[in-house]
Amino acid sequence: MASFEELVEAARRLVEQPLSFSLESFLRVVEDYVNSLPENLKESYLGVMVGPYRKVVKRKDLPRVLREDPEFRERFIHFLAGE
Amino acid sequence: MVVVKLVVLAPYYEIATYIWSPYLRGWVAKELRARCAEPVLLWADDANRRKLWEAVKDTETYGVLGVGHGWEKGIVGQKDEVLLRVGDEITPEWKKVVFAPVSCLVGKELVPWLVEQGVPAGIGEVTEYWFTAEKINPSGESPEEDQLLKYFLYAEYTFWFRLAEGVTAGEAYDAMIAEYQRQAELAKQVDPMTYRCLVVDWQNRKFFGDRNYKLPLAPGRILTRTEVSAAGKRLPKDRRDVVTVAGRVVAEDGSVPRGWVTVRVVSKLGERSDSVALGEDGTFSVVFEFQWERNEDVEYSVTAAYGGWVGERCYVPSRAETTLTVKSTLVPTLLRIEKAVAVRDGPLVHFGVSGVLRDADGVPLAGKVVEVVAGDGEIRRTWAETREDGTFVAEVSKSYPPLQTKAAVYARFKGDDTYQGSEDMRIVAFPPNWDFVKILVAAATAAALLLALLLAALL
Repeated sequence: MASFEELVEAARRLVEQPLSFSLESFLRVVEDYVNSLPENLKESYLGVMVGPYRKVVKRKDLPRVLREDPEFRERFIHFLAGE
Repeated sequence: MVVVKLVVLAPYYEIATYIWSPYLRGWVAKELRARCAEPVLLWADDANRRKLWEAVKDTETYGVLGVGHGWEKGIVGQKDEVLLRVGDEITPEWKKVVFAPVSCLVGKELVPWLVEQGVPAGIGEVTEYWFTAEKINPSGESPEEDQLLKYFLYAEYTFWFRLAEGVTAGEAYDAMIAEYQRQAELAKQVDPMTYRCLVVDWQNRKFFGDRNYKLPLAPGRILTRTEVSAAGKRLPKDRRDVVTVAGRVVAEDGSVPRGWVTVRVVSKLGERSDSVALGEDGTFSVVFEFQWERNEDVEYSVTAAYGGWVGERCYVPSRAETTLTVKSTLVPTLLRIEKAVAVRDGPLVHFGVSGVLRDADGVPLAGKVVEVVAGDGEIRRTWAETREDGTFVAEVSKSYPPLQTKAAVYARFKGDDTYQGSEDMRIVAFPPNWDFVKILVAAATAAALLLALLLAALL
């Protein structure tokens, strides 16, 4: 189980210390975070309104989408890391 | 009669727009009409470049809002058709139009560029605009349909609603940012991800252009001013506060507005709201009650929002805010010693004390602890609990000098978080220590006798 704060911390570590914290470790934190959500939030959407590239995903699908879509992954990590 | 038109971009062709645009067609359009502005809805296939530019050419159009996917240099509508981009020829009609749709990244280049071309004011996100939502394809009649997206909707459209209410673009923008912050705090307990989105969104939602720009006042559109005051009363015995909110709505032309006022009161004890109709003189009044557990100061934030009225004339909504602190208040009490007796037992004096504890209204207080103290020198104390009828009985013992024959006894209620403390005192008489007196007399007698014998022998 991971809290949202742990998810943010993992994103920051990935941005600031890419050599000591792997993408796989980050994705495991995402999975733990998603698993810890109540059902209504697992089924809710997270979206971003970028022109030609746009994305809305169910939160329960975040781990899969982050693995499959590098652009979304990049934007999501920087959104969390506050950069 | 209503001649301020606002173009509402509402493409409807993929998930983000399925989520957001129904609220533009329903709730936002309704709220704009209530503010005497006419939404020109470009829904689904109508959210295209030709229709947008035609709508802007209308001399009565003064704004573009809504939603659209964006990038640094442009914004797209239905099926990703580019609606507007850096480098377009900005015709003179655009130079009266506030441009502020929700869109990613347009604050980086597109909106500043539009302002350079003469657009009076605009708002644009300098990063991505993130959001959370529960539902695809809602009816869109109320933000309450979606318990996540509602935070974004209430915050974002504060700008347009306030602008239509007659404030400047800068004031409307400030109100929007404040509302984003307020909504973020509300969302924090519900979902930290939503909180994060709201914070990132408002921190990167930038204003460009003339802060003093205002929408023109259409004929028949009457600005209003809401006045509000609040009074609070603490009822410690009932463990509740009664907050009375009263006020009036004043029209700038001196006429009496019609319509409803929504009053909301927020404190750490919770939130209450109610909608009340304006009286014939434009006044309103509403009473709320808040239960509390701890008798401490409570600050209440009060908002009164007049929703406007569209009839033969169009009264523009207005709002007012105030705060109120209800101070902790304790109920006075009266403690009375009704009987106090003392019995001497050698050096010890035993006191029997009875009395009653009542509140200021004379109501007996049960279950309260009363301290009974025998005074003078080293004190002795005991405690008794009041019965159903408020009475108490206590005994306390203490040594006194053999010749002391009176002392003070005290009964004291220290108070609690509802009741003030109170106390009473009695001087109680008791006999001297007769055993000691007898010894003293015997000793004196013996000494006198000895002295007499000594004197006789000497003589």
